[in-house]
Amino acid sequence: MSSRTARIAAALSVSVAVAICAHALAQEANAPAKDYNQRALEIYEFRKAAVSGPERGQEIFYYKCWFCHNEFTQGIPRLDGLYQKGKLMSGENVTDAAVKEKIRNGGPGMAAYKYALSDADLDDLVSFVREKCCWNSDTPPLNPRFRAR
Amino acid sequence: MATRFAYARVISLGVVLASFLLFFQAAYAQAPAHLRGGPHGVVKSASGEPLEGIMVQLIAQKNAIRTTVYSNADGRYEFPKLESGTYTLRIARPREFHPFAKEKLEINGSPELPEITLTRVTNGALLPPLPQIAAQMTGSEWLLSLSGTGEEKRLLTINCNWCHSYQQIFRNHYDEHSWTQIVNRMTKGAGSPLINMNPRGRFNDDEIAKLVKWLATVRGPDAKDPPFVALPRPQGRQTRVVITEYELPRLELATHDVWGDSKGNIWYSPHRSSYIGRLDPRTGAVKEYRVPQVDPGVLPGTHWIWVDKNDIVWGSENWQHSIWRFDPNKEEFTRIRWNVPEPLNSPMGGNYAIDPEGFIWRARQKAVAKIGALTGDTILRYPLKKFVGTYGSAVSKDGRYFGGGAWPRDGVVVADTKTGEVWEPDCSANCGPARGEFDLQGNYWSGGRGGMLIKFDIAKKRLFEYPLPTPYASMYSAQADKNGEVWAGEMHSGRYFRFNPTTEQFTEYVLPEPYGIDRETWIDNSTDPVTVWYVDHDGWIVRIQPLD
Repeated sequence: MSSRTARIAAALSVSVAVAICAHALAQEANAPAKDYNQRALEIYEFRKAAVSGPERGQEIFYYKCWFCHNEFTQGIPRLDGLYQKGKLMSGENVTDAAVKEKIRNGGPGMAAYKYALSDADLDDLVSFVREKCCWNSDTPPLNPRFRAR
Repeated sequence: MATRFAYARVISLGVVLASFLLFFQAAYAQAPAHLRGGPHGVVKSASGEPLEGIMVQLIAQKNAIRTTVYSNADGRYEFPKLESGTYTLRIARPREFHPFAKEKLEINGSPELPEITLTRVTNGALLPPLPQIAAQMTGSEWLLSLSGTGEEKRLLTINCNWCHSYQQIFRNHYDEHSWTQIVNRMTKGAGSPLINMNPRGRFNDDEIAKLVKWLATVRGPDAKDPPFVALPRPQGRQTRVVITEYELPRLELATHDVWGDSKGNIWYSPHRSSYIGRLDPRTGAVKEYRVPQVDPGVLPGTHWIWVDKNDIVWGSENWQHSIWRFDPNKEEFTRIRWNVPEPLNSPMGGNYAIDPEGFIWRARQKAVAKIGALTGDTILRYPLKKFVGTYGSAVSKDGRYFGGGAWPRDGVVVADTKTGEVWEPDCSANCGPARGEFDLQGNYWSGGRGGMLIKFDIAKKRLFEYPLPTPYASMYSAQADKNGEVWAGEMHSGRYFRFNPTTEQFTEYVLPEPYGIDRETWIDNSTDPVTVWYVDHDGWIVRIQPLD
């Protein structure tokens, strides 16, 4: 390939790359804004109770963990006081990183949540498990939208 | 002479008919005064065309009450008169359009609101697979958009349609092992608490494997969200409705039933929590009452709720296996233990009915039974020949007939307590009639989980099935009003319908949120047109006021 041809090919490649980026940006620019007055979007993103933090983590816990790890089921580890117990069932020390790894990868009887929960989701979930665990059916969380108290 | 007379008769008849039609049209076009005369305006596209079927919503800052009206063929909409105050004006579920919202709008009287111009997200027929679009999609739209065979989708819609939205499934990605864990837990756990496990699930292992395989394909680790097929927007009569939504004080109640009292309040039940509540629709205020502590190791929760003619509130505790009676004046609960064979935390079939004399009716253990509400003692039994019992229970207004969807098979049980006759007709495979109600003629109507409205015709003594108009929609309950029309939420289609038995026609109202998970409707027959109430599973009370 002559140097001229190479220069043309390089220029074309750059142009194509620029065009692809521009198209992607244009698409992104045209993406609709998120209207969180739509309850369904809050539900979809687990942010009915809070935008982030342990309150949001509690919501994720209810939908992803509670249906097995609750106060009524037999034969499934309880998660209240997990950080005080010090060890996971595997013998590992209880740390945020170890708990997140367990949630991400699951186990023989547990789903792996690495494709379902983002890093931000896991941060909030683990902060709830660490600080406020666990769910109490007698005191469901307050609805921040409710104003007629 | 005879011919002239015949012509005269035809002309007279024509005049009468035309007058009737004109009158009918005028009545049809005119909304009742209490449902009009408020803020109004117009919705247009960016190119200036009027847009029909757009859900225009005002959210009151004071009490978070949401009122939604629908633009007509001219793009015009009109709210009822609203309390003066600050509101957010927005479009609910804009889907193919960019969101529109105007915060802090001061409303006083009946102003013309700022023109709403909506810009399309795409000019194509399919909507882009973005989370903010996906969240607006109904379960029906998800299923129309995902690839898969009819068998695969049917496996999902007849087994996963009871407890939660399809969005709750499809927003996730898991590998096959994880889907197996989840589907097993969901289908082998008893009732919605999933505490007691049954090794023999709702369907067999081969079918579970097929469903898991499909989920792991369309919602696997690498699966992309699909471009979305959107259902048509409401048109014509479907736009003639006002929908009001009320927030509740708590989240994650798994709200189940509503029922109205004589003072205009709406009572609701929480399926997996201790707090029942009473909504005052005039203010949006809710007073909560804590049901007394359940036994240790038992999940709290009230399933069925019902208000008697003396405004005493009744509820069933499906996990604790008891009935409670609540006197709102004294704020006192009385709990009556219910003698059932099921283990605690498994559903006892707590969808009951109370007859005009105050007895509770249900069908379990191969008999329809009349039970003392304050004792739990069986007073009368009508043996069943074919079915074990029913999922729901209804008693006709005159107390003569009992009805319910057969459980766990596909059929209906109707008993005539006057003659002792019992009918147990089958319905089509997986029709799944659950709860329902009698109309004033004594016909029993039931919500078929398989996606059809089911009628037991008391005169013909046979079943009729009416498939829902929207694909993949499901039902759970149905109620008949004073005019004989039948009302119910279409679970998973984000719609609520009315059905006219005379014309056999459905009218669907599109809801501001994409669910429609209605477990029990209460109809206020004191208004004209009737006012319809239900509570969506995710926790807000919905009032539906048709304009005709």
